[in-house]
Amino acid sequence: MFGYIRPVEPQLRVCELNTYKAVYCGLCRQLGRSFGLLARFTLSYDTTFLALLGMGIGAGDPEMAPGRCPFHPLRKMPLCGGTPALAFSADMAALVLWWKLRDDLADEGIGKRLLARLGLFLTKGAYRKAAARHRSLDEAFRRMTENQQALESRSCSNVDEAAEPTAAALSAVFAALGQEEKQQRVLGRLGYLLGRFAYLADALDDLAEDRCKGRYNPFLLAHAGTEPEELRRQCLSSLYLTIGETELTYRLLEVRRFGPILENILTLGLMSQADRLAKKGVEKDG
Amino acid sequence: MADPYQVLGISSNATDDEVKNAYRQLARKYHPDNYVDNPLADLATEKMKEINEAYDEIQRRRRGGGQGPASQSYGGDQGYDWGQAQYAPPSQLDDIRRMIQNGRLPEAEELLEGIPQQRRDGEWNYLMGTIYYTKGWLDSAINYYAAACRLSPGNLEYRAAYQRLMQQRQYGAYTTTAAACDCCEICSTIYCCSSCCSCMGNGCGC
Repeated sequence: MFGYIRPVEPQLRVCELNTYKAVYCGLCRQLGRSFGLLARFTLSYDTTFLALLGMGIGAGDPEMAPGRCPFHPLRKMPLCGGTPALAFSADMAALVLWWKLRDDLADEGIGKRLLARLGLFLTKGAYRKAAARHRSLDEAFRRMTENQQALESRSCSNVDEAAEPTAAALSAVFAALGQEEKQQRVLGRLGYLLGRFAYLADALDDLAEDRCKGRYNPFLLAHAGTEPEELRRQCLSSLYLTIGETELTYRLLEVRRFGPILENILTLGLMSQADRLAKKGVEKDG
Repeated sequence: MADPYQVLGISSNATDDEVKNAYRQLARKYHPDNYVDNPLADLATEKMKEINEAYDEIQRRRRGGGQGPASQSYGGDQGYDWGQAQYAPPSQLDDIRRMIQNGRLPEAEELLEGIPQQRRDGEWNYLMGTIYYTKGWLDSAINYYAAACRLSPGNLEYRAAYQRLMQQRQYGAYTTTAAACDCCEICSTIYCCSSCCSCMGNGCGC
């Protein structure tokens, strides 16, 4: 997950924005409680979305109470707490970070490899705790990293195939939020499509850099020889296709609360991220 | 049965127009046409049925209960037969189509791969596209659907599947304001296609 799954804040109502912030801050506090102060720096929009979705379909009402945060000690802010979705999302944050660092170890840059070593050393405790609580999901992330490295080393030029490892891992994570079979099916597909979106968005984000440095990028291989402008259009189309399918899937989810916020993230939010990334490329190429 | 007003997301003292509007919006949202080939199609059909029943129930109550007219609602209720081709494909592909509907994707894919290049017609490409669509490999799906349309230009089923994904590819999510009219566009395109087809008689097999 890379921070692309977030709302368009001006399009949220004030009360919805407050709720979103309360979940964001609540997850930050949960990270601190689960893994210590340092873990709070791994807070991301993607895991916030996961928490929001988990609470959205969960049975119990989350508690909202004003609290203090060590980073903003002067004023009290609303904090969300008391739901299993928060602890689950914090655990997922730890797993994602650990496997991301493991992936960086295979990176060619010596600086990045050293940083990854340091990171792995620091996050070892958190990873062990989270992995012990979610064995099968830890396994899903391990498979994701392995499959990703394998297809990169054989320069896979199929965009769908390249997105599959990330999508499959997130499919497992999202399905784990569900309580019964039908709900898990919807969540599984939703997770798959969001994983696919995140992976492809990241590939689009890195397009110019990967081209300069000759690094692996599925879009560059799939559309080899295409003009930069046309290439960006193709990338954006792939993202839009995924967003449309995500929205169709989300409709089938019975949500108890936070509906408008989730909808904002999955339609406006994803679309605006896709547009932003496609535009960012224009400036770089120009 | 759940409170029909709650199902439609309106209060029990909503006006008749409000009821109708809410129903239309939901019916459009969950219409089986949006979920053709979708692995979650059964859930959409279920939801559609729920909405239809709620609408009928409200109509019945408002007309003084009792005898009220039979089903006012459209679609969904009788179950949407999305799986049936408009023409009879070769029997092997027929079996593969049933396999896909039953969710046996890897086997279906294997069988399709076994069919030699020269016998890969529109139906073959359509089924391949459906497998990829179900897996979430959307870019591959659209390519196979396009090939299916190229090989069988008169087939409405292939065209609808292709156009649905092309709309998404161009506009992303439906619910944003810009997309509100695109839904109509899909409907009107399909409507035009279908009337053109029937104009030419049934000779083309549609």
